[in-house]
Amino acid sequence: MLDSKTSLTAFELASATVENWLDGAGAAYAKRSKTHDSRRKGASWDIELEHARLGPQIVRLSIPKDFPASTPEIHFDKKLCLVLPHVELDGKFCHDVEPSPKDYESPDGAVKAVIKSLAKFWTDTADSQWVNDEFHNERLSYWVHYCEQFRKAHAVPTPHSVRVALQPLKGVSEGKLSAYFSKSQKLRSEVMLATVGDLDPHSVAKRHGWADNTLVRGHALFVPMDNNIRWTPPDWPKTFEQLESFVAQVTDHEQSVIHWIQGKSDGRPHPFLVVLVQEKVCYGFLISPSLRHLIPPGIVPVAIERVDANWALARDHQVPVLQARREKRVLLLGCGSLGAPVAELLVRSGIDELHLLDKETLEPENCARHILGVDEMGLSKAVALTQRLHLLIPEVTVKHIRAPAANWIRDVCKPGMYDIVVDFTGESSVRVMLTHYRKHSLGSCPLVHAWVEPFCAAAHVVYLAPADLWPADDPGERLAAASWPDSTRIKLPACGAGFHPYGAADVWQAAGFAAERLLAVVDGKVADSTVWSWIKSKAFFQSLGFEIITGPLVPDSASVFDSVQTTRTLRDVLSND
Amino acid sequence: MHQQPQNTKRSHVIALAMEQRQESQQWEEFIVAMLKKLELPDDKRAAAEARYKEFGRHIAHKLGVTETDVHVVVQGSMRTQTTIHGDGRENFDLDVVVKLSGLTFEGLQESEPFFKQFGASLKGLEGAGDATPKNRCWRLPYPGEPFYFDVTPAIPMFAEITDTDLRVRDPITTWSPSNPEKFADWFCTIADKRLPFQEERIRKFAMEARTVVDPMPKDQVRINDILRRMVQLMKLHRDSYYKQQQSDARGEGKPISVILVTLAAKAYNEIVTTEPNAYSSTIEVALEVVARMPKFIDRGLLGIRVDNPALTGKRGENFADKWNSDKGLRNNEFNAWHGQLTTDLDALFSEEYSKRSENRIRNVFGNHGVSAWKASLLPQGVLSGLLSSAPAQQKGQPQLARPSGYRDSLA
Repeated sequence: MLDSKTSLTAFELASATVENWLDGAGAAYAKRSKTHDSRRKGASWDIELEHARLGPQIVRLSIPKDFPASTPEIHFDKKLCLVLPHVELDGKFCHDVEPSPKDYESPDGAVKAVIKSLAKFWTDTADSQWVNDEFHNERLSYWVHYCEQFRKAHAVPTPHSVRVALQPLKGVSEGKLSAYFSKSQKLRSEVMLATVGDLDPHSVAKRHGWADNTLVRGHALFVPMDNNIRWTPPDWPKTFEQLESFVAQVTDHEQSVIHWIQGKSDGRPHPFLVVLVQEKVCYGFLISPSLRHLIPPGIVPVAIERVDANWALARDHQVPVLQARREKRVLLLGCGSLGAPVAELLVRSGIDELHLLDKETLEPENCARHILGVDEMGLSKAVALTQRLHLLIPEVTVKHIRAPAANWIRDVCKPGMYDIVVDFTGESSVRVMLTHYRKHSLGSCPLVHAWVEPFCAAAHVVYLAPADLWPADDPGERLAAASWPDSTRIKLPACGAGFHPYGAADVWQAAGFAAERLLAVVDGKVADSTVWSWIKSKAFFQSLGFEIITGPLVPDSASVFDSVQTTRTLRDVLSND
Repeated sequence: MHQQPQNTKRSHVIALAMEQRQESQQWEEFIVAMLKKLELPDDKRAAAEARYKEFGRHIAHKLGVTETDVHVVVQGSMRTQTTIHGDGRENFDLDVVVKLSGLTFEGLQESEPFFKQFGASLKGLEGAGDATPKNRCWRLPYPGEPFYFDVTPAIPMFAEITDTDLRVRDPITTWSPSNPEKFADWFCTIADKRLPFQEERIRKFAMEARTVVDPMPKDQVRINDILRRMVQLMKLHRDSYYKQQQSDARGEGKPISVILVTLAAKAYNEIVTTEPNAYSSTIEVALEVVARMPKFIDRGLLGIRVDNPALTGKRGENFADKWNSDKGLRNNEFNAWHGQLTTDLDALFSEEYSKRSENRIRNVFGNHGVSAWKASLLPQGVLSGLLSSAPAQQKGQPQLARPSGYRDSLA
């Protein structure tokens, strides 16, 4: 086989190397599998192993077809799923061996690493305490396996997806449940969504496009459980009675599932969902109704996806930062190619209330560098962007204002309405207007101006602390990295129409640059009025093919890809001027 | 090979088939590993030695004689290095003889007072528990230890202290002759003999060891001590065989160890001395030893005899003495057991190594053997075996750790 070495692919060669070993000297310990599935695996061998607690086992070692791009696999009897940790539903052992670049050169190394991992696992799992600890440490994975196993083993129609918009709980809390059934699948719900308190799950589902077909309303009960409560396969309630006593136990006998259901009963069938909440993770039990009181109600374990902002935006990590951002109200002027991506970055970062102002409609030619596309052609940019962000990001409140900036600032805006106002119009007139209306409309609200120079050759973000004003003569042009000839603007055969050529790749970099600094302002990390600039290299300016006179900030670099990012105080910038 | 007369002995046929399957080494390693598991562990052996070294002083003190008149001599399987943990016995049986000399014990006529007095002297040995009398010895149970001692008091057959011929108490004949040291020496001399193919293997092994760059696998164990290992194997098989029979009457007749040891040694000695070049594998020799054992049972005019090779002549001892007065019980049992051993070994070695079945292993090695075998299937056994079967790295290439890739940094 190895004689034809040159004609073998890297995959075939690696596989042949391992086959030579395992069919040769290794054959004393591993036998070719009789039930090898050649469509899915390159080759497989069975190894007889005696497990200290489980007796004799057949362990299968397989070389995947894309070996060594992926590692050799180990499969146990699938009955060992949830009996031993790190065993998936199909019996696959999560050996935690990552492919290594060396595996192409010495494929045996990958097999050895996997066997070593198996040997350690085999020894470790002799200890039932270790097994139990592993189950607890990765309890969410095993719970998901269990729910899937249950679904396959029982003829109970379980929902496709059970979602929970969780809020921080102060003890046991009731909530609402919306279940959506498609017409064809009357018994099996497509999506269920549970919310805490009085929040209507149907409105949330509609907002995110989950509310399809028939709605059935139900009830949810959220039961927090202490972090030190064990949640391993033997701990999981398997019957309604066990669930009742488990809930009683974790709530110091304050909560009864039976009483909760009886209290909600109105003679009509409703779905009931009990959600056990441990730290950031939810474990669900759907209660299936009792049949005319002949048999007790059943429970169906369900895996739960959290869809609340704390999880969706931060995975519950550094929640205080997120909470602070969620108290901020931001007015964003200008939803163009710079403002729109910044708006999206802000809400993805947790800004809770964002008002988007733009007077223009989306044109097809905006497509190249806007986050909206031709499907929203003809819609107001502010409206379309608001819809998009509402659809994408949970819990955020986005409002659209389709008006010229000056009108809104002058007529509607009042001090205290916003925590920060950001101007992405890039228009000198708006900057000057804001200077004049600052005190009247914004009060002590911080203000940020941001714009890009032609070709996105430079971007500037100017933060004005409450006490500072942008000079009314708009020194923006003098801030520019270079003096640009008029010819850089491509004119269109329409009154005053034209554009500077640059693409999404350029302007979205500027958006990231601006958003990063905006968030620092929002988080209160910037005290003094500051000017941030991102300026591409002299080589970039020279590559544009125009007579451009570059200023002192432009870095003297031979690569068009180089750039600098600078931070200056507003005072310094204006006094240098 | 073909020029030679065809060797049709079963031992040869089986060994040849195994050789063709290239399984000889695996089987040898397996047997050695199995026996190793069933031997007294080293730390316990050391504990046992520490125990019997106390005997001399203690007994001398209790009997009121000088320590130089008390000699403790290890005998039996401990001396022949064939100790094994058989079925049906909880603990290892360790035999020592306490040779008593000096005026006190000279010319003793009666054996009973001497035997009782000796038994009393064993009182107070630390950790030994209460001694119970057997025919020739006192048993010290050593509760809590994995062994017990059978302590046989012996006095010189004659006045000469240097002679190793001893006499020991016999409840029927008052005294019995005994020479445990000489018997053990006889056995060990034979057991230490090697066949040419073994010498060749050792030589080749040493040559290879010099040329191989990688360190040698630690557990490259093969059977060199064929006779000792076969004796262990036979004792194991006998114990498990009689455990399965569950008949006390038959159990009465089970072949005693010393007969197995004697017959096996004589068979091995014959092979080594008369046709040393006729064998090329350990398993073949082992099977041939078993096959030849019956022919060393002397079935002559004087009845059935298995003479103690260490006590010849008038003072001789027939280990099979009882065979002549038990209506054929022991004779039949020996034949039945020996037939079964032959069948079981044939069956075991005829199957593919990798298909070793629990039943066949139980038949040869007993229940303890099966447990030990199962334990050897734990990853330390199978998986480390699999790992060590991987082709060695190319010479001169340092073995670098396999660097791992990573993922999920963007999830």
